[in-house]
Amino acid sequence: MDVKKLLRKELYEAYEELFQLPANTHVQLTREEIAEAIENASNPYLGSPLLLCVASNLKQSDFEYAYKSDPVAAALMLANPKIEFERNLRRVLKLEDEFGEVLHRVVLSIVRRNQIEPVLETSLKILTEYKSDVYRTIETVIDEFEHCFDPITREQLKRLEGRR
Amino acid sequence: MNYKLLEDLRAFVKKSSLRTCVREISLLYEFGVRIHRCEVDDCLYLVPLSEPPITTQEVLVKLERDEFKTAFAYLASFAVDWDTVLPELKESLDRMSAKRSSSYVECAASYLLWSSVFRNRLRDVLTPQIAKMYGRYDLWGSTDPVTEEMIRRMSKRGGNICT
Repeated sequence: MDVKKLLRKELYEAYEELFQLPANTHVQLTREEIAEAIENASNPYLGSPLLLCVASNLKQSDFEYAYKSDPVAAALMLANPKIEFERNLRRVLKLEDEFGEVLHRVVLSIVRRNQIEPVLETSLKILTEYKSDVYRTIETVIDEFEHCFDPITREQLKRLEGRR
Repeated sequence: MNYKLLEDLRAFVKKSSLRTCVREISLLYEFGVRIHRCEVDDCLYLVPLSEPPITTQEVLVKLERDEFKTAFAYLASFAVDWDTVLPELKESLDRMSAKRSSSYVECAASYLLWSSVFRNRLRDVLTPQIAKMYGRYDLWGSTDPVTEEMIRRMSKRGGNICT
């Protein structure tokens, strides 16, 4: 499968594509492509930053760079199994800059990461430590992308959203 | 404002162009519509409607922490003393360009454009980038004619206006 077609899609369609990729999907990016994806992370129209979610050669140092240059880029990287999840999730949630937008990407990254390893339940506990009303963001995510989640993820999210 | 109306407003703001958003939020503000402070951080374009309003001190703290997007959006609050914040704001613009990615800077600039139009202080923050954005978002008619003439000249010349 040509994962790099995410490059050519708009953000919403790229997310739909991302959720349908098998858990073991990965792509080797050049350093320039990683830098470019970080540079474009806050662009609300570009799908190419989602390559950060599947880059097989992403390093913690890339996360550190993203963490300083754009919280949205750091939020996207949480979907990537190369990035240690829990510790970095807590760090991203401490970034309060444009928190609503960041939280939306964080929830989407959690959903993608959950397709690779079970992180959904733990993540919700962490999220509620930092923000009391995460359920609205989860509801938004379900509204936007429910049709492309697998049945188990859909069921788990509904259950979490039902706790509101 | 009840929950359903608030959700509708949030969805409307996210889907609208900046031009429509400026006009609608201005109207809501004039009609005295206010939303709870805690609802604002999820959708920064609702800042002018915040009750209690966002203060000067909150903007200064955000600028100090380099949380530029939020700081620039907070400037739309009428309780913020623009002249107190302006020196810090100008310093932060240089700092932001050095530290942040290009799409972050672009997004933060759109918040600054939004806030300055809302507060009618666009001239204070006018740069070639902001002037181009004003045209791109088709905000013509959203500020005074003198500032719009400056924007036209700046857009044509692609640089600062010599006075």
